[in-house]
Amino acid sequence: MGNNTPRGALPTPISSRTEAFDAVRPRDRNKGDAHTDTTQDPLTFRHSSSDQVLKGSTVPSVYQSSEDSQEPPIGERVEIETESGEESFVSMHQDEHDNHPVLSDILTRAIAVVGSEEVLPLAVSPFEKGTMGMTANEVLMIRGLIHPLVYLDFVDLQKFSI
Amino acid sequence: MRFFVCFQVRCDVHGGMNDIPPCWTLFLHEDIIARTLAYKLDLKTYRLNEIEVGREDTGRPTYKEVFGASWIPLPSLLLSSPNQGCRWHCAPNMDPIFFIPMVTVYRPEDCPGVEPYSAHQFPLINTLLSIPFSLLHTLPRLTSMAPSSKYHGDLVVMGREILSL
Repeated sequence: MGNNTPRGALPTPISSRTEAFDAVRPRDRNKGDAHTDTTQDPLTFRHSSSDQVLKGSTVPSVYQSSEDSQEPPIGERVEIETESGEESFVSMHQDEHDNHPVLSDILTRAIAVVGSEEVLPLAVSPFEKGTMGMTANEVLMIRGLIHPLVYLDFVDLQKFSI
Repeated sequence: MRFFVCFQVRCDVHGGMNDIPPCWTLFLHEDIIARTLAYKLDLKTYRLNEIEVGREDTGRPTYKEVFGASWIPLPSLLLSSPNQGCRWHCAPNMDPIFFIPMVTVYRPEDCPGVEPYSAHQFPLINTLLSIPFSLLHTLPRLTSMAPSSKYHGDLVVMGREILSL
């Protein structure tokens, strides 16, 4: 039976490992798979009123993904595309860097991104002891388990106001 | 021209670190990210193998088993690998910021200045932050910054993969 099989050794601890970034980064682990070039082909957000929504606002979360990677942090693939044609996110962002977002911009854009998905409840207790200041809601948001609109309410959007 | 002037990195100089959206952030050195991800992948394989041979899932190992010591802050990792630490990442659209008196000038492309390479890289910063805390706290900040390179994107993807494992 398998229970008689000797246990394998635990993996080598992190402090004793020698892997380098280039050997583990996605393009090297998945040779042969197409990988999105984050500087050349940014994902785009398609929305009928995207020009107006994006104007004067700063995108709160941008995710560049390879084809085989998992979902972006907010559980959505964010695509941005303006009617005036394709434009890299970086250049678009640079053009707007002097404009600060206002509360209505952020809410409008968030609604456009997440649509009318079911809203999950917030956790009310702090995250487990030892993680220094992270709340359960922040951790769940990172993992994509909290609805973005709910999280925006949790983090107090007034912080965005200048 | 966009640039900022850094006088000194101190524990009590943290202006802008809470900006929303972030303009800059610390993030773990890419080799630490790579080793953490490699460990997580190996651990997943180990646990699945244990289950396949009919044993119970071993569960998450202790911190000591993961890091190879009772607790290893990043500076201890640096002792054996002097090229590790945290890098200072700066959003490419950053506004100029000045710390006076002026000593050294770094432009956004110098932070961290890995890809594309900068001859004037922002120096590595050693911290006492644990790897889990660094990931949980700084990955959202790095993710929220306008991507400056494929290096930036790969760090985000690998960081998220570590969290998902």
